Amino acid sequence: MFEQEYRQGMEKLSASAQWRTDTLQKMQQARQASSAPGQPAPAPGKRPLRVSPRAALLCAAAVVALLVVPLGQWQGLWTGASTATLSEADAAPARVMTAEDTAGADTDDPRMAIAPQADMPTQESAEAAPEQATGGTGAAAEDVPLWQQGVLEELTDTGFYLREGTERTYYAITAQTDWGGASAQALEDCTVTVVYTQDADGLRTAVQVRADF
Amino acid sequence: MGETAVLQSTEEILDRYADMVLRTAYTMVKNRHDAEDIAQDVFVSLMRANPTFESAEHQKAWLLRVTINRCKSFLTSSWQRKTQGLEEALPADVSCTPTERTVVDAVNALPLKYRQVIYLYYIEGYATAEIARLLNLPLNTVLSQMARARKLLKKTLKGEWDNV
Repeated sequence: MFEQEYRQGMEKLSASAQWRTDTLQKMQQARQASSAPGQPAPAPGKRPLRVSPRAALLCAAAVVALLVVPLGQWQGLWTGASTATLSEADAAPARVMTAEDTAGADTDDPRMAIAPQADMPTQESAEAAPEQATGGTGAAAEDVPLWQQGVLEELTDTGFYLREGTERTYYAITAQTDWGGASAQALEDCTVTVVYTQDADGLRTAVQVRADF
Repeated sequence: MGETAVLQSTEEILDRYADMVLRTAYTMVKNRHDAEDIAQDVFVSLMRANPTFESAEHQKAWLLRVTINRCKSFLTSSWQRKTQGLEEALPADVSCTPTERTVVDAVNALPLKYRQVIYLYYIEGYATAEIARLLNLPLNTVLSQMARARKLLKKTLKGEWDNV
């Protein structure tokens, strides 16, 4: 059988003594080098991990990128969340205040809930004839504290117009509207900051009116 | 293949596996000088990598796999492809009978993919399934390579090879 001949022929091929001595020496040197102090022990069955500086740099860059993007998003979310929280708090249903409640209330608080007044105009009536609008719908105003700067123009019994640039917006006033100690007439044609609330129909009600000096 | 003790001593490892690694490399590159260089490199790699083996069989398979990979890298290297490798029959110092030499030469004349499976099957005694795992090839590929290698050897040697 040629199989037997092949096996016998190959078995006669063996490493020379010179090669063995040389190889043994190199193996011992390699073993000493690999077991020298400072060399980490390899994991069982695995080669020690070797990472080139370039690969390490790329990995570090990838990690930074992975951290920065979510952090940016997180910051945006946090900001959005805080705004949302504030809006939620501010958008809480207004508590209908009685005269007794408002008597001792801190009127400087721009977030003070405004009780619907009997003479508060509805959006429709305000749009039709704001200065004539009387008699609200009775619905509680949605308490959204906002502020706007502009020139107080055309003061009426029920409100005033604020001009912001080329736009004029009507603001209703109530008995609780805080004028900062000044009279409404004194602030006419002055640049003022109006803290107001806006109900679901878009009607703005002035909470505070302060002159900007 | 019943031994399970993993050899740790450098001398023991070399004594046990030097011939195997050298023969594997020789079968692949068909040149004793290159085979010795590759075999030496394999043993030095073993010392550097210092892997933990589950058994002696695992250790042997590791050495064979690394030897085969080194040989393939050597054969596909640009230097090797540009310069015609010095192929040689069994070295003159190997005292073989004419028949043994003829058969070894016939196997060496086979394409690489055929000679490696013939070597692993007949010399190292691996089953075809084990060869498939060792070479990372499908079993059917190994079986077909074995069949074609035998057919070529029969044709070359004009005689009976093996009907396994």
